[in-house]
Amino acid sequence: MFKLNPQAGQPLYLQLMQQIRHAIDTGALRAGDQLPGIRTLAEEIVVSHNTVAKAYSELEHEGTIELRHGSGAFIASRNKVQARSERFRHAQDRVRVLVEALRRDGWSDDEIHRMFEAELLYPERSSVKR
Amino acid sequence: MDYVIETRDLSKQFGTVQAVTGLNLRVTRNQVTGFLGRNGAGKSTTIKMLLGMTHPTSGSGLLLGHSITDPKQDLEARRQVAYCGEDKQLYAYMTVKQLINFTASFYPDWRSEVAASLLDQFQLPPGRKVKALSKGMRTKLSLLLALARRPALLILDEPTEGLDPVAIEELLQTLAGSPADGTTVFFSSHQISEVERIADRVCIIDRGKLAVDLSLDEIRQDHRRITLSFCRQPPEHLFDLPEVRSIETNGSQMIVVSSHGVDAVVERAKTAGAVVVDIVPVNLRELFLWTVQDHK
Amino acid sequence: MMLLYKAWLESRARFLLGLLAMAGLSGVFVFFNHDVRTVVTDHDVSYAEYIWRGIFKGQLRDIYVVLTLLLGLGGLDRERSYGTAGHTLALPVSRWRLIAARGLTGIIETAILAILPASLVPALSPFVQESYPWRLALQFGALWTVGGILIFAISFLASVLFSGEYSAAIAAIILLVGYSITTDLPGMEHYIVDVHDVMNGSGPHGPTTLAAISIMAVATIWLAGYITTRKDY
Repeated sequence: MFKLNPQAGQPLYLQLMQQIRHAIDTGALRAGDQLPGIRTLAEEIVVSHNTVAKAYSELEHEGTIELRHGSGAFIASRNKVQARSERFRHAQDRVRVLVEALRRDGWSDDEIHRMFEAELLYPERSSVKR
Repeated sequence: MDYVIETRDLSKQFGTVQAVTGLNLRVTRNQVTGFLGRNGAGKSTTIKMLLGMTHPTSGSGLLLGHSITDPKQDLEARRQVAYCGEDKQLYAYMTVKQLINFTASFYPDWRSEVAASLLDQFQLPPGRKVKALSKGMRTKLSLLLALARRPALLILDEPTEGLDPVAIEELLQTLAGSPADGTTVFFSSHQISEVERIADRVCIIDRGKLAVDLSLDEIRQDHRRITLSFCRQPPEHLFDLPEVRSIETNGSQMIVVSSHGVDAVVERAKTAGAVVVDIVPVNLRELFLWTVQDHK
Repeated sequence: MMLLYKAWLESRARFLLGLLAMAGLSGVFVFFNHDVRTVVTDHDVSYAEYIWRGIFKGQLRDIYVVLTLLLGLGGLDRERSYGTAGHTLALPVSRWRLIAARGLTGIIETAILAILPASLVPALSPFVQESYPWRLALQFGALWTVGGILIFAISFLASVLFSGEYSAAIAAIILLVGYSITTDLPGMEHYIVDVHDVMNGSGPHGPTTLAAISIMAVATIWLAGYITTRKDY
């Protein structure tokens, strides 16, 4: 179900959190669904128990999952509403990464703005490119 | 911080050879820590000193809170430590069953049901003499003897050597889940990809000294490899920054490895008129090689 | 205790071989005494003297010495060359306990090997219409036991000092031979006693001598233990 990449430049627990959130966003996991136990998941995807524990802990912290003592981890019911705003924030992150990369390449904010505008205002030209 | 292993200036000299120098190793409880190093870097010597097999020349250490230089204390610690050495040899004259019974008698934390299930899983014939076992089976038996207990600390030296891929995967699964039992795992390995998958932390020993002690999260998050292209010769000490781990020059290109993000390096590169060609994460193998290969 | 069991398993082959050799040869000496007599001596001797020359002083005693030497070999240094020293030393037992287990097992085995001919000769002699006094035989058994334990201890110490497969055995033999030669030197009789003579009864064999030899043997094993605790493996 989840596949982590030890060589991507991102801590594994963050990757796992993202994949769980993604599963929620796409509906693979729904509110109330139970996630595998920490140890079970750790052994299944062969990552340190601590990685899964940290991911679950952080997800609980932000309200994405609930850890019910004795029963396990469950997708929080609030997620239905939160999913969209969460996805929006993720999309924003992606834009931020791109903008920072462009800035590093030496493009000014004005030039970057013009690039985005061009892309959004002339969709026919964009689709031809693809 | 709760350390299961803590050494202070631990050193070992064999004749004129300094095998371990001023080692300050710290292994945190309930984590999986990988111990990397070239052959002869001092990994086995360090482990032997921790287990009381080799006497340190100087320095001290604590194993589960017990002093490793005091034989009585180290013995107490060993009650809760399971060790699988790199030798992978066991008493040739005992049968599998005899060896299991022998080992079980020394450890109150022995779990017979686990031993029985592992015996089944590893497909080890109980009546066969150890000398008639293949290397892979001996390794599995050695692991059985360690895993059938619930030790506070599991020290493994090259645990996957000689195992087939399925067995390796099963072992990694077991090790990955160990912190749930309250077992800390400290394992040395040449299989860097294995360490990368399941370790929380990695310690790299090079020429007897501890060269790297980082969490895998830090490596993944903060270490970056920046490739820069210069049109003119860059100044000599352009990247004299504390976070720069290595610099490699290839003609007009320079590859800088930083352990704390890219901002400072990119800043300086720009002042020297360089272009950032790309920025990629650093994987454990690269970090290891840069650490232990001769530095330019 | 499991360590004794391990020491037993490690020495089992040598011990059983020794048992077979001692029993077999004792049997041969008794049952074929008419034929073997000519090998042992060229003139006519009594049965008791023949037994003494052949067994308690002669070839069988030499074989016993070799067997006890073999029993002393082994230990952690051999384990290191086999690759099992790590497993043994990681056990939550002190090195002294390892030494004690191997030492005790060897002493018991040495004693059994000594008592064997001492028991078989008087037991089997009637079958060839001869008789050998039990008291005398068991006295020799006791002398052999004490002497044997010393030789075992010397070999035990050699196995700790030398780690090669054969070097320990060779060292033990050299030590033993050197010891014999030293005791044969003129003037040395007052200071050291030759253990071989003790065993065959021609040398001093009173309780003080036996006690002194036993103490030397234990001290030698203790020394081996001390050296073992200081070693790096």
